[in-house]
Amino acid sequence: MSDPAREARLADETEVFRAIKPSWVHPDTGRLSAAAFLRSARDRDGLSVSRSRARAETTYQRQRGVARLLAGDVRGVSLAPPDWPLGMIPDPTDLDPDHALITGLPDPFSPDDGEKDAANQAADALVALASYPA
Amino acid sequence: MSAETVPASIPEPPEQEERPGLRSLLLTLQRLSSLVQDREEYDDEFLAPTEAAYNAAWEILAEAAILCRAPTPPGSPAPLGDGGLVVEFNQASRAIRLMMPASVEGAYLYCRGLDEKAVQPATGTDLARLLARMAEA
Repeated sequence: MSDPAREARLADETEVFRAIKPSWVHPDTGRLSAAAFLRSARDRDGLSVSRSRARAETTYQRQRGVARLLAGDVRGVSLAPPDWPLGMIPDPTDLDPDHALITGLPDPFSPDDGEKDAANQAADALVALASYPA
Repeated sequence: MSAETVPASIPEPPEQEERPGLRSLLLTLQRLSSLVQDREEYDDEFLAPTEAAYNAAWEILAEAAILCRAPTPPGSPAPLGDGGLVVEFNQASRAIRLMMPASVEGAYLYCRGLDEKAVQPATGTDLARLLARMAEA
């Protein structure tokens, strides 16, 4: 049976916040590293964000603030070729009812070079779109 | 990964030879060591780089440090949280990334803005070549 919460999509103007680890910030420039938006093997369903800034700010025991994105901007990222449409869906959890996922991110360690390229393009695009520090 | 696996010392660059790229890569190696020694950064949800990933990245960076004579920006290592890691070099709109999975198998170099194929083999020779391209561009 499908989960209605996950079938919904966040409105374009919805702000979401991604918790940032200290090592995801370049020590020389203060800019975000692509590592903040590369899908890891643990992010099978998507990359975690929260609509709640307060919850995002307490995700990790040690973190360096949050990055802010707009759902519509994330959906507007276009990667080529091939096309990997990114999505933004609610994914409420017991710990965070405002939890959401960035979906559709390519696997940076896929055997396919095109998918590796797309994964890095996606990370670069999300770094460019993110407001940090938010 | 235990602190004992971290190499005891990072070699000093030769004083008589001016090699700004070497200094940057040695700084990158120091940052890589710090990354895995900082145990408070990791827990069961966000894993430290594996010993295999750390060692493989170290070897590639050390080989590139020996080969690279071009001025390069220092690299910024970062964990992926699943045992893998990334080492990123940025200069203006150009970027080179050493992409190292937890298992090491499937590691590669990614480059942007260098008029090169985006995905390249993960070797010290290739990293030194791409860093030299980055300096030329």
